[in-house]
Amino acid sequence: VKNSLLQVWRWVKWPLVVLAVAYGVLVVWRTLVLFDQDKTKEAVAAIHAARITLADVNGDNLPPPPDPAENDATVEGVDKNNNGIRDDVELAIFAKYPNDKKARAAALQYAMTEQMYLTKVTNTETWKAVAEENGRAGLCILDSDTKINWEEIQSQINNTELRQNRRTHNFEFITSHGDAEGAPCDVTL
Amino acid sequence: MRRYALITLFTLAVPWLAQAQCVDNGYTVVFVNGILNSREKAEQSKFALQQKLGKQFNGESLFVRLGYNTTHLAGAGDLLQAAVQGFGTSVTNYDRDTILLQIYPELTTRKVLLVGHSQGTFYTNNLYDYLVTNGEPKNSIGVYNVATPANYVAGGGLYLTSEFDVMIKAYADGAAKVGGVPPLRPNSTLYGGDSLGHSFVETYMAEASDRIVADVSGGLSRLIAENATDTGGCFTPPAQGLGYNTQAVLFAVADPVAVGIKTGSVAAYQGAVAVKDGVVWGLGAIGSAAQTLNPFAWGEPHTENVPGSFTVVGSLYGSSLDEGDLHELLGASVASAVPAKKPVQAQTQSQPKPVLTEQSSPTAEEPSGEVAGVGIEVPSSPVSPVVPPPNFVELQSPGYGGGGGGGAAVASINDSEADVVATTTATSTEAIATTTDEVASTTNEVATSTPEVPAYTALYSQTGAAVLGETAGGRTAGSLAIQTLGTGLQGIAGSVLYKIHGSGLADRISQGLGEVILFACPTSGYSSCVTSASSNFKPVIVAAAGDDAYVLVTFTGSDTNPYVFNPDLYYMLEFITFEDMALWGSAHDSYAGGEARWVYDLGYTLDAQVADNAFRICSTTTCGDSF
Repeated sequence: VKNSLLQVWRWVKWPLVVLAVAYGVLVVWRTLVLFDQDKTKEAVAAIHAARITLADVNGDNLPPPPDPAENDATVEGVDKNNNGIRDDVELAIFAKYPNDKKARAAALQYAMTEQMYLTKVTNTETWKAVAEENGRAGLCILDSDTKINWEEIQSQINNTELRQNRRTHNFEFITSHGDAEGAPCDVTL
Repeated sequence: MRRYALITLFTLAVPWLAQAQCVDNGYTVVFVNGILNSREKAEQSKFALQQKLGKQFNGESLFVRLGYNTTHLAGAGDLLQAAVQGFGTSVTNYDRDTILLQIYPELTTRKVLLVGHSQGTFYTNNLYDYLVTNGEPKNSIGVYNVATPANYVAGGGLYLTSEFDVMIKAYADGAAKVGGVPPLRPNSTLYGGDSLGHSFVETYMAEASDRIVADVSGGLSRLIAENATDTGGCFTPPAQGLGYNTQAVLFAVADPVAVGIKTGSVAAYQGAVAVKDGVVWGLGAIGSAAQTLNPFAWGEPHTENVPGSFTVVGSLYGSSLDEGDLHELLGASVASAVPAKKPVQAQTQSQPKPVLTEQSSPTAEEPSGEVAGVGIEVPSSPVSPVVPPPNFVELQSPGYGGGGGGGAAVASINDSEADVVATTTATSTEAIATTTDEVASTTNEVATSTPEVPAYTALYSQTGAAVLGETAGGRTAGSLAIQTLGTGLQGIAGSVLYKIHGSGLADRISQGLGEVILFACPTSGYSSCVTSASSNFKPVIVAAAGDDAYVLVTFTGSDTNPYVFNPDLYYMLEFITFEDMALWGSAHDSYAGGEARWVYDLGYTLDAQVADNAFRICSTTTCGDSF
């Protein structure tokens, strides 16, 4: 009997070792995935929570013009007033719609979501969250009495090869989606 | 271990989907992007469509969703899929099911219009078939396709393809070359846009957004919320079973490797040749660019295909994933090399029959009179005209929703405003044609060989057409003209003839505009009148002079035909007109059963204009060619 058992063990030993190792890898991988899922949930919640404020629309905290070299050196660029809208784009929107708060609000909201395509996307879930907010910003644009050139804002956001490449990379996570729920505009005027 | 294996299998096999509440109020447009389209362009297309359509339609919310048609195996999977779709089938339902599963939690309205672009039009057709097969009412689902390589539009929907769409042209040439069924005939000429004339945003939305909006609006207006499968969501999702998940795993494993290989190829390739040069070279492999851009060469092979060129094109495609146009081109081109079998549903969008001869119309001044009731009208061709004959204008109407179901008609009319008397002279009542082709052939007979207007049997009419009313300028935005018909109607609803005025009518009618929907309303009246007796109309110009035309809408081809009036119900005609399309009528309401109105926000208001719509309803597929 002992010999028979040894014979069997000789055959099953390595398959069992392989399975054990595979199981260990799977456990490690799943653990990392679970950690990642938590991070993703937080990131998605943060994306949906991002809002422009009335102060942003009023220009209460307008940033100074950024240094072009510094601004274009990174994907994120310069956002001195930390409102999620890159300073050069924010200033351009104020220049374009100096007397139309409603248009400015919609344009700023749209610019913020376009910026998030570059800075907040790490996987499909976060891409979808940004796309939903981008869609909501689109609905806000529709509420504006002024025709807003959203393609121009998109171009301003993605004005360097670095940013274009990042955008293209992040769009690898594209998936079917709708628009975020709630009122279209962050700021109601 | 066995337990874990079982748990894993169970997890993979059991569907796990969030359910969305489905409501009757509101509309959803689902945009399905094309093959190998740049991901950014896919999203941009959805956004641009939303911007053009707005947030509301008919006073209800309008949602625009992206149903993303993804790329597999660096495009090789899509090329295979597109090639097989050219046969009217599919290698796998994986993509269709993926779209369905992804949009399932996004869909919250019963009324859904699927809008496809390029290869996405195969999927909109497939999605429609899936939804209808799985319990969704046909009346609540519609399809509208743009730049379509498919040879039909599911559900009799409209489509838009440019004469100058290089990729669709290449696809058509390829299909013709191998004896396959070509895609639907181009029905527009868009000169601007991207270099290939194919991009949804840069060509179709940039050059024809008004028409797209009109087509989509027409499609939405025909949707009716009906209770369907009671699954909690807006449709029954496909089973997300083991097979689906296995495929997903396989793609997940294979895609990164394929993309890596492709990326390496891109680097090597781009070192030698510019991407745009590659587009030209790819076109050269498919055919002559000059001839491709010749709209008159449609349907004719314009060049010799290089043996194995599709393999070459496939390689080229694989070397430039980031060039959306090139991807689109190559995807369509490869597919075009595949022989296509006869489409199952091609009858609903049969190709128009070309070349028609002029026909002298009966330009008679006839005794005035109107009859609201059953009668048989005989055309007045033997009567001599008392006014100078107008200049003949040749118009061609490929028909609604698919390039020519109704065939083309060339005729002329005079501008007489005299009413036609309804007589009781017996004529042979024609049987209602049951297929589009029959309708088309009937119409062609009118235009080509019959000097006299075919016999028809009129049921109800109001043929005073001396006053121009229902003008675009006089209506509320988003409203449509209505002619209420009252109750007591009997007989078969075979066709409707009416007179219309506007610029570019031939083009508009060929887009499906000008169609008439017959609505069957409750016995209580016109409120809650949402049931169309037929929704598969194909307007045809049977006579035209200047900016005026007589349009025939034949009530055949849909599942409900032939429709038989129920005398207990109220009925009304809804005219799908847009912008510069105005209806002729009379200064007084001579049809006792009804009156002209607007429909807007589900309410019906009396006509703001003085004219009352002129119309004739016949039980036959022909209904004369003038009043």
